[in-house]
Order: sequence, then C-alpha cells, then structure tokens
Amino acid sequence: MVYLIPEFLLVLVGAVGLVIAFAPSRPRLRAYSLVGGLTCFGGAVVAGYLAYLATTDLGAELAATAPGYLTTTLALDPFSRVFAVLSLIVCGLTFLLSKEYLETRMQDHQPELLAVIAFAAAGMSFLGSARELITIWFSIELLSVCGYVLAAFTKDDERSAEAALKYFILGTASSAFMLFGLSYVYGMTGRLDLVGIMEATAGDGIGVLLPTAAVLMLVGFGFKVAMVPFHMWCPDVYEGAPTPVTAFLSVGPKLAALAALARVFSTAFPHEVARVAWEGVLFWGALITMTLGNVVAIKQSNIKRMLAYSSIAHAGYMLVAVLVTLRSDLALSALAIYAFAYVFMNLGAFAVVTSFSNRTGSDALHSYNGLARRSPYLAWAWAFFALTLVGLPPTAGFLGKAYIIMAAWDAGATWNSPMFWLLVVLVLNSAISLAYYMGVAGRMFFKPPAHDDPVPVGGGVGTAIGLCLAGTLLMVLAAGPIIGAIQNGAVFALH
Amino acid sequence: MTGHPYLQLLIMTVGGILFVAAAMIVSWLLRPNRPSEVKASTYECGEEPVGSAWFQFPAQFYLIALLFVVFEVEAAFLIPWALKLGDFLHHAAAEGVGSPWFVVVEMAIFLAILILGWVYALRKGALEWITE
Amino acid sequence: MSPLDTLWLVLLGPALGALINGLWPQRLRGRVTHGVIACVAAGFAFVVAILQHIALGASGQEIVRASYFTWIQAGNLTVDFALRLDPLSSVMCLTVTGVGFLIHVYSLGYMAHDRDYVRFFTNMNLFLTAMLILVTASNLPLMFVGWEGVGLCSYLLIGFWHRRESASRAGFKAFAVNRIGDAGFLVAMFWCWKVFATLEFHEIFERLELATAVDVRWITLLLFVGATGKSAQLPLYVWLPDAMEGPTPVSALIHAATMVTAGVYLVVRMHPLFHHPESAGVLVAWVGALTAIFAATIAVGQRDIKRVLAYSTVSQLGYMFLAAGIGAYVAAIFHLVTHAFFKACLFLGSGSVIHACHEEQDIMNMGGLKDKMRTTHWTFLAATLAIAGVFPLAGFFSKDEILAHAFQANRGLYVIGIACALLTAFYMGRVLFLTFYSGRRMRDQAWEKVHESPPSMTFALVVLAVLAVFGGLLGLPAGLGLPHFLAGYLAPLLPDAHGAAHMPARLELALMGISLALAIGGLFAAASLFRVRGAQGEERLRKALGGVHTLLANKWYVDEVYAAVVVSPLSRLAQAVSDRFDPRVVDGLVNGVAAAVGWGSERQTRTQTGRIRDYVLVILTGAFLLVLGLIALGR
Repeated sequence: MVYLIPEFLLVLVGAVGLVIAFAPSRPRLRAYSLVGGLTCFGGAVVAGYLAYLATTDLGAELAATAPGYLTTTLALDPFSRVFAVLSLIVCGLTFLLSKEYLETRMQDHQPELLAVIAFAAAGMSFLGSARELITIWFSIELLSVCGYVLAAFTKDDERSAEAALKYFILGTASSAFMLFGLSYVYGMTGRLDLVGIMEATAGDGIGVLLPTAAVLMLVGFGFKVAMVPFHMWCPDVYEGAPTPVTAFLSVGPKLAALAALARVFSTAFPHEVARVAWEGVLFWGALITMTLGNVVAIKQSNIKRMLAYSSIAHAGYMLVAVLVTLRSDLALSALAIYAFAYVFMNLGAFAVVTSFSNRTGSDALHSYNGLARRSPYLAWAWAFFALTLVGLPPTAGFLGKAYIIMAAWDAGATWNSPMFWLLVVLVLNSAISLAYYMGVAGRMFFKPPAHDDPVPVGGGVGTAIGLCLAGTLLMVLAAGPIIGAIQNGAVFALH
Repeated sequence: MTGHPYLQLLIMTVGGILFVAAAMIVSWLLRPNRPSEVKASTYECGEEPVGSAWFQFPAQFYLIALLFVVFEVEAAFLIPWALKLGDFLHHAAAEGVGSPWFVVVEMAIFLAILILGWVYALRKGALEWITE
Repeated sequence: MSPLDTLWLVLLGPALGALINGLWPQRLRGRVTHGVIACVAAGFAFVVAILQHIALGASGQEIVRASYFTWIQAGNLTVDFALRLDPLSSVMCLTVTGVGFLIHVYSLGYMAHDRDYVRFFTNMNLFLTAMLILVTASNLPLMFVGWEGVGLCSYLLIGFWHRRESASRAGFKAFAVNRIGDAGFLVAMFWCWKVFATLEFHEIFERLELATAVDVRWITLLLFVGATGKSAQLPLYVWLPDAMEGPTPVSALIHAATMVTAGVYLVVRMHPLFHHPESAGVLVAWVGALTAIFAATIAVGQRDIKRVLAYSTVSQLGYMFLAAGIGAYVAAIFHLVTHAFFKACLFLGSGSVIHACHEEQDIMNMGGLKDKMRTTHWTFLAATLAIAGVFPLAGFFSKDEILAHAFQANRGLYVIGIACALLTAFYMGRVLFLTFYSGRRMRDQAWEKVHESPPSMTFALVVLAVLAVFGGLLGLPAGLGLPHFLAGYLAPLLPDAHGAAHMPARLELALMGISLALAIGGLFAAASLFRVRGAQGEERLRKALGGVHTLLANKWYVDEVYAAVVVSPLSRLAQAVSDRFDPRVVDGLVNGVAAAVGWGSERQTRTQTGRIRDYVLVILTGAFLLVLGLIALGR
C-alpha cells in the first residue's frame, strides 16, 4: 500500500479542494493553492523515493506482501513510480501557475478548478501504472472527464464552452474506438491483465482480429496523445480553455497516455503479427505527427495555438521512444527523461503565456512584441524555454532528444534503415521548430513594443517559471538516477 | 481457408457492403414510384412534430440525472464488494496476508469520496428546483 | 603528505585568484585588495612549485603522474585530466610562477591607476592557470587546453585597452595568426592518435616504434607549425610585435618570459619524436636560425622601445629553436630560463621608463634618464649586458652553449648564430644608450615630471636583474669541467644532456672568446654611435645603411606582403562569397525551404475548420485508413 501514497495524496488534495469549495474565500483559496502545491512537491519527493525503493530488495518484499488484487491491477514498478513523480510535479506546478489566474480572471469556482486538476493528476498517475484493461479504462476516463470539466471551467466564455464541447464529443468518439478494441481483445483472449493477454496470444492461432483490436486501441490512445490524424481537437481546445488548464492539458493526459501506450503495447502485444501492426502505425504516426505539428505551428498567430501544434510535435518525438520499447532497453528511460524535460519546458512556456495573458488579456503573437523591455524576466524565461524546446545543448530538451535518438539507434537504426530516416526527420523537425520558438523570442527582443507599460509577474506564476527553469537545468543531474531506477528495476515484470 | 490472413475480413466487409447495396438497388428497381404529400412527411404514423427541436429547457434535469449516476456507481461497486467480502476476510485470516480491516477501510474511503461529491452538489444547491 | 601527492595544488592559487577577482570585481574593499589577492595567488603557486621541485628531487622519481578524472571517453579514446611532474615541467613551473609572481607584484604599481585594474589581475591569474596546465599536462589534449587558454588570455590582455582600436586589432591579429599554428597542433594530435592509439606522453614515447618515417616527419612538422604560431617564428612571427599594444607587464610575462616559449617547450616535451633521424628537427633549427637573424636586423631599425624588445624576443626564441632543432634540448631550456630573467627585466625596465615618461615609447624622445631613474638604469644595464652575452652574466653562458652545439652540428648555423649575437649586442646597446645616456631630448615640462618608479616596481626589477646576472651559474660550461646543474637535473629526461662535454676545452674557450669579442664589439659600436651623440648617431646609422635602413625600419615590408598575398585575396574571396554565393545559393536554398514549409503550414491550417463534424470525420477516416493499412500490410 505504501506504493500508492502519491495517488492517495492527489485524491486527498482534490477532496480538500471540494470541502473548501463549500465556503470559498480568498484566504482559504490562497492557503489551499499553497498547501496543495507544497503537498504535491513533497509527494513528488516521496514518489521519487518509492521509485528508488522499487529497485531494491526491500521494495520487492513490500510488493510481494501487497494484496493480490492490487498487484494485478496496478504495476508498482519504478517506471510507474517515476510517472507518479511526474504527475505530482505537474499538479504542483499547475497549482502555482494558476494562482494569479484564479484571483484575477475567475469570479467563482476557483477551488473546484484546482481540485479537478488534482483528480486529473491522480488519473494520470493511475494510468501510468495500470496493467489491466478495466483499470486502464477507468484511469483514462478519470483523466478525460476531468479534462472535459476543466476545459469548460470559464463557462461564461463562449470559446471555453466550445472547446469543452469539442473535447467532450471527440473524446467520447475516440473512447468508443478504444472500448471497441478492448472488447475485441477480451473477447479473443478472455483475459483482462496485460500479461495474460500476452500469454494467450503467444500461439499461432491468433489471426486477423488482434492487430485490428490493437490499432483500434491506438485510436483512443492516439487521441489523448494528439497523434495525427487524431489531433484535430488539440489547437481548438488549447486556445479556448483557460490558460492554466491548457498548460495542464498539454502535459498531463499526453504523458500519461504515452506511458500507458508504452506499457500496454509492449506488454500485451509483443508477438509478431500484432507487433508489426502497431509498430508500423507508430512509425508513420510519429513521423507525420512531428512533421505536421512543427510545420503548422509556424503559421499560427495565437501563441496558445502555436504551443498546441508544438505539443503535437513533441508527442511525435516521444512516440519514437514508445515505438522502440521492445527493441531497446533504453527506450523507457528515454521516454521518462523526455517526459520530465517536457513537463518543465512546456509548463514553463505556458507559465510565461499565463503570466502575460493575466495582465494583458491577449494571446496574440504580435502582442508579445518588445516584451523584453516590458518584462525582462518573462522574455528571458521564454528565450530559455524556447531553446530547451528546440533541444539545444546543454538543456533538458537536448538531453531528452539525445536519449530518444540513442534509444532508436540502439534499436538498430543502421544507415539507410527506416529508423535512420525517422531520426533524420526528427532532427530536421528540431530545426524547423527553431523558426517559430525563436520567432517569438525575436519578437520579444527585437521588435518595438506597442507601448511601454511593464508586465508585472505574479508571485505564484513567477515561482512556477523559476521552478521550471531550475527543473530544465537540473535535468542534467536527474537523468542518471532516472535511468538507474528504470534500468535496474524489473520493468513491467510480474511481482 | 489459408491465404491472406485478412481475406476473411475483406470478404466480410465487401460482402456486407454488397448485401446492403444489392437490397437497395433491387428495391429501387422493383418498387413503383408514386410520391404523395403524406408519404413525404416525417412520420407516416404518430404525432406531427410541433415547432423546432432547438429550444431551451431547464438544466436541472441534467443535474438530477447526474446525481443519480453517483448512486448508480455506488451500487455498482458495493454489490460485488459485498459479495466477495466474506471470501476476502476468510482468506486474509487463513493466510495472514494483509489486514482483514483493510478492505473495509478501502470501501469506506470510496464511499467518503462519493459522499463528499454528493454533499458538494447539495451545498451548491443542485437539488433546489428553481422555477423561472 | 608529500607535495607530489597534490600536483593540482600548483593550479589552485591562480585558479582561485582568477575566480575570486572575476566573480566579485567590485565587492571587495579597495581595489588594491584585488591586486594583492592576485599576487598572493601567484606567490602561492610559486611556493608550491618550489616544494614540488624539492620533493621531486628528494623522491628520486623521474616522473610523477596523477590522473584526477576521465575527461573524455569516446569509443576507445580515453583522455584523463592528468598532470605530470618531471624535471622539465618542474623547471617550467618554477620559471613561470617565479617570474609570474614578480611581474604580478610589479603590476601592483604599474596598473595602479588603470580603470580596469581588477580585470587585468583576473586575466593575469587566468593566464598563469592556463600556462601551468600547459606545462604540467600529461597528455596532448590537456596540453592543448592550456595552449588555447594562454592564447585566449594573450588575446584578452593584448586587447586589454580595448577602447584603443589598434589594441583590439592587435589582439585580433594575434588570435588569427595563432589559429593557423593551432591547426597544425590539432592535426599533429590527430595523427598521433592514429599512429599510437594514445595521447598520453609517456605512452606515445613507449610506442615510438609504431611510427614510420613518414609519420614522424609529418607529426614533428605539424607540431612545429603549432610552435611557430605560439612562439612567433617565421613565417608566423608577425603578431608578436603588434602584441606590444598590451600593458607592459603583459608583454613581459606573456610575450617574453612564458607564453611565447610554449613552442620551445612543446618541441622539448616531444623530443623523443624530434630526436628521430627522420624528424623535422633540421627544419626547426634552420627556421630558428633564420628567424633569429631576421628579427635581429629588424630590431636595429625600430624606434619604439617595446618593439625593439619584441623583435629581440623573436630573435632569442629563434636561438632556442635552433638549439632544440639540433638536439641541444638542455641548451634550449637553459636559454629559455635565462631569457625569461633578462627579457622580463628589460620589459619591466622599459615599462618603468614608459611609466615615468608618461606613455612615451619612442627612444628618440628619451635620453639621459640615467640620473633620474637610478634603479631602473642599473637593472636595465645588467639585463642588457646579460642579453648581449657579456661574461659572466646569464646570457653569456646560455647563448654560448647553444653556439657551441651549433658549431658542432652545422657551421652555417653557427655563423648565423654569431652574426645574430653581434646584432643583438648592437641593437640592445642602441636602446640602452639612447634611453639612459646621450643627453636629454625631452621638453622641460615632461622632464620635470620624470621620476623613479615606486618600490613595488623596482623590487621586481632588482630581483630579476640579480637573476639575470647570476642565472648563468645554473649551467656552467661542462666542457671546461665545471658543473652544469641544469643538465644534471634534466639528465634523466633529456638524453643529450652532456653533448657539449665532448668538446675539447681549448675549442670551447676559443668559441667563448669569439662570442665575447662580438658582444663587446657590438656594444662598443653602439656606444660610439649613440652614447654621446644620441640622435645624431641615429642619423649617421641611417646614412651608413642607406636604403637598407628604410627596409629595416619598415620590417622588410613583411606585413605589407602578407596583406597583399594572403589577407587581401582572402577578404576579396569572402566578399565575393557574401555578395554573390550567399544571397543566391545559400539564402535561396534556405528561403526556398522556408517558403515550402510555410506553404504546407498554410494549407494544413485551412483544414482546421473548427467544426466538430469535420474533426469526427477525420478521426473516423484515420481509424478506417489504419485498419485498411493493416489489411494492405498483410502479415
């Protein structure tokens, strides 16, 4: 049970939020966002310790004494705990960067927003460790339903309502596909746990339907990840949703779905026929996703839409790591490292956007002209996050890309193999992304501002930006332990 | 039935499409075509629709329905739990794995969260019927 | 704990000093504190160097090597951050830190009124750190770190007064010319890796038999190309005279005593390669000799006191390469050490004069300073006698040793060597007499303000002058049965330590006599021309030399030739590329790609309609295509 402390903490934070919502007041809201955020960061430390613990003998013992129904539904391995760390960090950072937004842009229901984010983060954490179809389904729905609610939170704003409705309708449609796939799998194998499915499909008798089911499941996951062609919701929802919510949506569901994708497909479908199918789909999916995301991001005039497309592109990069999970020992570490880097750099970038729109109410790119003069902190922070998002050394983004490339190389990307060309496309895409990230930085530093009013940075969001900066810089130090935990632990193994 | 593994699927798909298409084409060829006003109306039997379907009606209906879901979920979890409770307690006592109270506490947590949500809805006035 | 266990300690002082002064340039109380910190740092390094020297002698070990961490690990290439102490690096450490410390102390006074006082000391400490890395490195890459580090500091310090355009241009020139040499060093390093599969000095020397004649020839040649850049030899010497734009202590430390000798150190450090019969050693000797005579002639025609000294440095470095090229490594190092003493003394003396005369550098505008600046005069005199090679001062012994070796190796080299000795005595005499004797040529107002320098400056002068006088005792001629301490100390490392011992005593004495006669002759010629007559003497010299003097004064027009042959065609090519090739081909390509990407972006944006039914359609189509793709994919 010790292993579930991160999830308990997240649920507890959410529940407290609901209680506070009984009688909301400004001081209570402040105390809640502060204490909640701190609890999350504290929890992240605990989760980090659990990830370490999972690699030790003591951890194995603890896992062995856990009740059977728990270990059959949740995998308590280092990989899942690393994603628990991530969920808590995402939750904590979102709490911080929402603070000013809640106080200045929302009239009511502020504690609920934070509470729902905490519940969504719990769903994220569960999804990262689910190892059985029903649990996977529930985790995904917990995350999704919270996401729909979050997108609708400023319900008087037409765009927010539209975004929520789109997200909801498209989300349920893709969920239907996934459920369809899940039911096929259950129908064919009679098993719900991933390992059981793998065992049941080991023989020759499995024909047509298993790959079909796998691909149908991929539609559902692809929607959460925003893989092309299931990405259409992404820019509209990101633009319409409240900015802190967009920040959360751009990392939370995406990363959890990627982690689940890696776990489900490499555990349940490692055998020839299905494997060829999903690897093929992911190969082309990754390639098209990263290219389309980057190319389309260039022409956007709204910074949230631009970041939406850029987050699609990042999903493409991470899909490469998922693609090689069965071929390289490094793949899961690469995914985790990229996920960490992505959390810090993307939340950092969104924190800058939040802070800016809190004061100016604008998300248009041209309103960022000359920001360096109006708020040097925001401009420099953006410049740094942009460099990281592009993946220039020695930042965290570079580290993430480097590990993904190493994993893909490890998986057999010899000269002129398809994998090799995928990596070439990945590197070219990084170059394309330079254009729009640095384009914004260029606006901030070299274009004259419309007026010289300073843009003050609020304490909460300023702290979030600082933490993200620190996070991107410290990734270089954290990469070693993360790889250590994931490589040493018995990943995806039965207890 | 060897050959391409997807052959069956393909035959099924093509067969399905052909079947539907054939039925429609055949009926189109065979049927007499004598349209009348009654035949073109939405329903050949039953009530004529009055006005547009695009009108507002109170959101409270949704809220009540949603609150129902809370109890449905509760029931959906409680029944299998209650049925298996005896087995579990027996099992825990026999093998010394885990505490027998654990599973009770767990359900208590679940109910607490659910009730919390329900109380929240009550506090927010979801059950107070507002008329105009 | 023996000092040998902590080889890194020698780097600690200057590194910390640079760090403290660099990070807190304004935080400390009073600007003198910064200077004192830098001096203490240099002094600390000097003390450590002495302790290590003693400990090395006491331990009886030849080489102490300490590896601290693996710096580069790529494939089967492993480069450690490893330091190495042996007699050679110990001698270099002592020279660098000792002279360095004195010049730091001198700078306290010299730079006292400069606005960028702290930056100066930061760079000086940084330079010491890099130089010590260079001489204590145990492998080529780490040595290259020091090599580039001193190059960087040299650039920073030449351009120290960066508000002056000539200074920043000179810094740039030094950097650019050095890069040519560095390319040679790098390629030599790669070649070593290819042949020996290691970059550690001791491993390379153990595996010498792996190298073919061609390998040795090219590696030594390329190393020497690196050395000509750093040590200002033909044809890459042009940066050094311009480097005099830097503050005088910098000229003394970097461009006379230490950094410019790095090339000599490199050749001696790699002597097992240069000792190979197929090596480029002969070339080294001839380039050295030609540089020596060539620079000496230019020095005769210069009027700027620091430029004379700069060409003199180039010339003396030529001597060292001459020695190293014919295998007289001990003689090369011996001359390196004594040269550090007297040339540092000369530069600091010139700095003292310039300081006193309010930045006047033209010797034609000085004269008669002997009585106004007594200490400076005496020390300058001692150092001049030392560099001219007057018995029994330091330069006499070290130069004589080189000439004795040259006599045995090749008479042509010897003749050039003694001709150069004559010229050295003459132009140094010219500087000495025009500056300190020959009546004053200054305006009264300026003359009134001339004063002796503060004690912090004269202290360094006196110490260096004493060293210039007695430094020769380190290496008394072995041919006369006298003890050659330096040779004995370096004997375990350098094979030829007693090469000169095979010479008959009578021949040795005869050679000494010739050198001494030439030195005194040169000085007398200078004295008769300039001691009393001053400017008239210069006029007579110009008339006597005729057109040659114009050539000399204009430095043989080498800079102009370089500009015409190398710089101008290159810059025209660059201009052509930037005018035609870049905008059309490169930019065209880039803009074309950008336009294509933009077009694609535009097209895709149009599909983003915002209507849910379209999106659902895309999802459906996607799923359908995936399943269809599966079927098409087959198994």
